[in-house]
Amino acid sequence: MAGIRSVFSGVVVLGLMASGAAARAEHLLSFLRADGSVAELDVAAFEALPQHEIITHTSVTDGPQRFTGPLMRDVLKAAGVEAKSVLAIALNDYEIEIPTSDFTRFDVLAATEMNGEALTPRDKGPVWIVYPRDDFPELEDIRYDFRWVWQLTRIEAR
Amino acid sequence: MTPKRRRHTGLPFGIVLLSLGLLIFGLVRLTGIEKSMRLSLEVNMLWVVGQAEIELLRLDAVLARLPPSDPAIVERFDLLASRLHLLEDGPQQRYLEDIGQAQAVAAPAAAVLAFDPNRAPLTEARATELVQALETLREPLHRSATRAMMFEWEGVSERLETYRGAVTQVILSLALGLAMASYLGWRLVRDQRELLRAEELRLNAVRLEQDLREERAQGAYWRDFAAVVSHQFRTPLAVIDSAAQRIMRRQGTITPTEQITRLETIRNTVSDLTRLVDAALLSGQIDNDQKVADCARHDLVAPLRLLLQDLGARHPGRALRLEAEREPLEAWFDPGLTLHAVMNLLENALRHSSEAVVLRIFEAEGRVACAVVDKGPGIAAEDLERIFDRFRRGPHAGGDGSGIGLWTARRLAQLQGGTIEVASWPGVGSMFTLWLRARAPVEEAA
Repeated sequence: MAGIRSVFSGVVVLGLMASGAAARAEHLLSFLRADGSVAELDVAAFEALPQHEIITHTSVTDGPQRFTGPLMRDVLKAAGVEAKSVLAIALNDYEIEIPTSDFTRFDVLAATEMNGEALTPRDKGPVWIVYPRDDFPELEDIRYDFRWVWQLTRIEAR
Repeated sequence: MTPKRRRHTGLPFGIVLLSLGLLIFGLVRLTGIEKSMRLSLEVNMLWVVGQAEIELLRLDAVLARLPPSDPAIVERFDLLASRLHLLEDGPQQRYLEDIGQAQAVAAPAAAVLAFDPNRAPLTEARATELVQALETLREPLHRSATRAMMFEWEGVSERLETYRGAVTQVILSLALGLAMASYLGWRLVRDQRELLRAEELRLNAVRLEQDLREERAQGAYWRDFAAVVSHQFRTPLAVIDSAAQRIMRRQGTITPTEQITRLETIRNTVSDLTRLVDAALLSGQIDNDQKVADCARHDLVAPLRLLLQDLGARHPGRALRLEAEREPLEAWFDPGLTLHAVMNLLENALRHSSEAVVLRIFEAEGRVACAVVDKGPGIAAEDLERIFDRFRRGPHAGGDGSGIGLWTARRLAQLQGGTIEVASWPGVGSMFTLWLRARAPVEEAA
């Protein structure tokens, strides 16, 4: 019962943040908090968060790309997820554990746009975890490339 | 540069250069390995192709299971499409070209994407066609996966081989460098040892040379000694001889008084000769460090007065005067050495002057002086330096004096921690001053 109420309140709170954006209130990410409760963020809630930009190369594209979206740490905070690490799950059931220290050490984006165009499930959307790869040489590593989850759909506290 | 010298400096220099070169080479190779290990950012192609194939199979599965209008089909199509788009992106596309599958994949992929349910809803017929298109795409995808697998392992193996080769070179260069460094170290130790041996030989040579010099000086000394002594002996011997001759010739006619006079002349001359021999012996003792001063604090005036009386007896008719500041006047000295030194100074004064000789004793600035003052011709400034040299007699010596007296006096003064100073005024006279310590050195310090 507690779980359901939590979902409800979460949606209400995030819904308030996204007031006046009912048209884009479609589900974007779902969360499982450390206490077992769940939360959801919609497009409007995402857009209400401070937007950041990273220009970086990626391991699967040529040349620098411009990514836009909120910071991962802001997203987790907005969803009320507090944990040492989180499990990032993609549409295709890809999942990987990411230590949340990554999000404080680096300005990691929950990118929703690439080069000004919205990411879609058809490409790598709706959300792509993007590291500032060009700014830190240590991020040029396959062990970090794993964490660039695209088609991100769910985050679970670990 | 001699060949030996070249071998001594050129070879080690070459070895140092070579080992440095080897080490630098090893370092460069290692750096290369380090870099290539860091930049091993490869496309995770096997996984990308595998994912595409899996999405293809999953779409195939929902198509078989669900009606064509089911939204789940759209979702699965999106996922497959995203994987196919990924394959078209730069790095993946180039990889496919590398393994020769770009063409093979491109056409069937485009054929599948043409069935996009977002653009035109899937009908039963189109769904069947889509299944066939998927089947056509599956084969090149599968082949791409296999090729990617082989390509990647080949790449890994090649890289490992490169690394192994490079590491082998590094090991060889290090080993060679180490061997050369060891050789250099060995040579260094050996050269050092040779250097030590050479130094030892050199020291021996120096010692030998020193011995030789000393031996030569000794020889020169004895030559001078022999010359002086023979010269000095000739006159007294002649005196003794003539006195004896007179006694012999005038046998019977000689008066007892005259006979005694002659005999006294002989005795005096013999004692002169004895003193000369003693002086020569003393000089030798000083040379061999056999003479040691036995100093203590004594009165200086009384023994010098006795000495003056003795000397006056030997030089009748000569005026000898003692002027003491006070009596007793104590000083720190060895009586035997001091009396000998003062006697030499007095005899020197008597020899070089005909007027009165004064011995003045006084204390000044913690030292006691025995100044022998004569009214002789004086000594030219240029000769002052050399009058203390052994066997060197002044220009006005007139063949008299052994050349040992002043040298001996000075050495005897030095043995007691004293000195002899000389001041001379040509035409007026000279003053030889023997300076002695007033007190023992320790007492003075305290």
